[in-house]
Amino acid sequence: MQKFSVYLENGFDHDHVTLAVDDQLLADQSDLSTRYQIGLAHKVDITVPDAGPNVLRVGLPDRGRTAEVALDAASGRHIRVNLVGDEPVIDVDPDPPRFA
Amino acid sequence: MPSSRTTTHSATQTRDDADAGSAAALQHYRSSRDSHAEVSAADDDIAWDIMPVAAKSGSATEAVTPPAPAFPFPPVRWSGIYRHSPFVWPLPPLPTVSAEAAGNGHHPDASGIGPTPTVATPPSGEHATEAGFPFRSEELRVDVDGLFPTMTVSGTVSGLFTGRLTWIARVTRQPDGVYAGPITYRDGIVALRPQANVSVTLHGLPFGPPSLHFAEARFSGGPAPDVVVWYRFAQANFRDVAFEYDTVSDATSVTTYNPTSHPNHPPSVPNTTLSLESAYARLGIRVTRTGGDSIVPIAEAGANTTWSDQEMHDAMEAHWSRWMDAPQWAVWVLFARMHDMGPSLGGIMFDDIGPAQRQGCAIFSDSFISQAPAGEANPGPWVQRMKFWTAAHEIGHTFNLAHSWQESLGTPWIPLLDEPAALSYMNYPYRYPAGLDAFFSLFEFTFSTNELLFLRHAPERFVEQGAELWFVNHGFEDDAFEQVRKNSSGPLELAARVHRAPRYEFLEPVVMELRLKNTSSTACTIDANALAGNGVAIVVQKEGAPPRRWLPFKGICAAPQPKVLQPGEAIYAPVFLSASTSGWLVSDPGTYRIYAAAQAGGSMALSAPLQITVDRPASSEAEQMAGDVFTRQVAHTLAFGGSRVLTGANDTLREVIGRLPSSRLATHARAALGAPLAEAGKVLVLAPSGEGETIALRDARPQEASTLLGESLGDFSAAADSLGHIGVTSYARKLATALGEEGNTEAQRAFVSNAADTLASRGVLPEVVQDLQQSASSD
Repeated sequence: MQKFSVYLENGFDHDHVTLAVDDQLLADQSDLSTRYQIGLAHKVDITVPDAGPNVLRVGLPDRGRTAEVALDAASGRHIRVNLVGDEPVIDVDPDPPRFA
Repeated sequence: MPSSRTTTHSATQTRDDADAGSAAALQHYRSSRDSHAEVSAADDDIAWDIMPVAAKSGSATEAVTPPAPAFPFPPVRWSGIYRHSPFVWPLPPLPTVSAEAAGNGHHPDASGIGPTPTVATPPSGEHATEAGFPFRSEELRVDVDGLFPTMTVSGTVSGLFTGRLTWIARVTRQPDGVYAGPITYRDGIVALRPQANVSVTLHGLPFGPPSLHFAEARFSGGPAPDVVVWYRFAQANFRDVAFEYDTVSDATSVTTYNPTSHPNHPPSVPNTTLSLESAYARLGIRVTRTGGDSIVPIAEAGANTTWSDQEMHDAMEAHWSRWMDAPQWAVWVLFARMHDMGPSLGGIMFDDIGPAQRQGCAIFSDSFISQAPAGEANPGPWVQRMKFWTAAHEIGHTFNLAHSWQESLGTPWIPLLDEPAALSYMNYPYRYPAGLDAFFSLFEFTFSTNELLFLRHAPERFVEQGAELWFVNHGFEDDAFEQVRKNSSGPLELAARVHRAPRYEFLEPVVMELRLKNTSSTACTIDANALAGNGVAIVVQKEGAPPRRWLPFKGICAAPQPKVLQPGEAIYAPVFLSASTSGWLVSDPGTYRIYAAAQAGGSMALSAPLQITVDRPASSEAEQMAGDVFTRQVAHTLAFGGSRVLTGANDTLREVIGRLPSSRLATHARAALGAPLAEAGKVLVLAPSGEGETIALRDARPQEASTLLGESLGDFSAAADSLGHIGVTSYARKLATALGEEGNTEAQRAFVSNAADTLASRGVLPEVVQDLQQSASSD
């Protein structure tokens, strides 16, 4: 099993967010808002099977938006999601993000 | 002391030219990081003064130096807060040198040409008193020199009855030395300063104390005529705040850092140990320590030994010596080991909980800020720098500063653009476009200009900890009364008081006493009528209702009658508070706050608020009488101590005596009905035809008077409670007169003796008591 961390960062405003890997729902969070003093709304740790491919789908049902990224531990275990306007933008980082 | 070293730079120039010079320095640092660059250790014990000084055209220099040699003299610094309050003039006619003549920051002899002295004595005419409109104060914030000037002039106008205005103007220095610009921001009552532009001339002796610096502000343009207001220098800092550092038992704290201790830094940073206090102080925020620093047991973090926001908030309530859930210029800083989020969180302004937010923040010593990158040649200073930056950053959040790259989000106080490349405490160094090393190669341990503008000039309620909610108006304001009171100073103290428990029966008139006392060590001269007429202002505010101004039924139009008040001496005046020309102010059950201000002796005195409570009606009779009592005629009759002509009001008072005989209103009613009968008096009588008026004499009716007044003052102490010391003494004299007129000298002496003893036991001045005794013996 592989572990990844998903950071729901900036732009969230009382949002309903779902995280699914290959159609398996891993997280379903309502009323998420960014705390702007740290630039983070929520962090979710997920575990996925070693055998891939594993595709993470970030859904915002209320906004009617989704975004996907292929999970690859070699590229990075830290998945950062920011809303730019209504669009979720995903970045993968090998190092954990730093907040303050 | 270390050997003399001086580092001087122009902040403006440094920022403009930083890229080229620092790029080379950064490259050198990067190439040397892995080759163990030899860097001399900085002396952390250096504790030189940081002396911000001014340069021309708004650029700044920061001299980090031991006390400078006598020549050249350090330039004068003009920035800071200037205050105008009524009657600060006239001042001694000092010959002063204008800022222009002094070069505004440069020693006038530096060019070899001495200044041209100009007399800049503040006028005592209409211009000087404009801002001194009764019960109004003004503050001017001048931010044109010193360290990182924002080239801004702003002001706050606080009026006791007119509310508050904060205005801001970005200014440029004109060839004549005047700082001028349009007023581009207003928050509050625009009418308090409606002009469109401001120009400020700074006056003062170049080597004189700052207290002799003055600012002459001309407001012009817009819908109102030009006006000139003079201000006197008050303080160099723009805000005052108190820090408290508490440290968890398993954590370490970092509150100091020498910016040169790590070799990667711009040449301009101060070569001295900055504390968090001095780091803020050099930017115009004066910091004091509460003295309450303490150790927080790790047990308060729970079994996991990491901290949640709620646990930190609980610790703040338990350990902060200044904790209160209300706005105050104070910050609680917790140094802890780790947050529940783990090492990804270096620090947090955790206090977005409850109504008074932004009061607490935390720094986590075992987070990423303590992990220097692999190969870092100076891991110790690197970590120290990150921890210091984090603490200053989190404290910045408590001032309602957002992250530099998020300034446009939320509800900015003014339209703001994001500043992702800001060299600011509020930017993440590792988020800086060119990276962390590039950030620190340019970072001058400051905030961006926009952030400094906010810290120094934004309305207080946006910035003060615990006031505006986090991220709203990145940015309850002291009310105008408190603002004016805070800015008032002088030899006189005004007290608004009652000599009893401040709880009143329904329908009971409220009689307050004003005392204006000379609390200084020298005599001062006031108008004997200072507490009468328009010299005094009173506001009554029922809880949950808007404030209402108390206006007296009578005014005094007379030339000032000078009266010398010796130290400790006071004058007194009764105030019939329940009603005024604007109607009944104290009537319904509830809690009321009373604010009073008086102008006398060339200064203004404001009382601490007086709070009183009016009980619910004790009976249906009282409730039924309310409509008849709360009338203008009854108010006049009670306020003036009786009437010979307002027969309707007198009928109402007689009805009160009949229906509510044991009420405190009945005490007032008997006194007001009896007093006019104690002595003969004149009344204005209209001719039956309606044309013409005559003065008629009404005879005294001492027997009726003594009966009514005797019943009113029978329990003299209770009567003093309700009528007030001044009122009851006045009525006592009338009863003594009436008894004398009756020839009942025995009763007169007995009454006066009892009254005098009662007044003396209640602390009434001996001369007042003696005067009452003598008035009886003379009848």
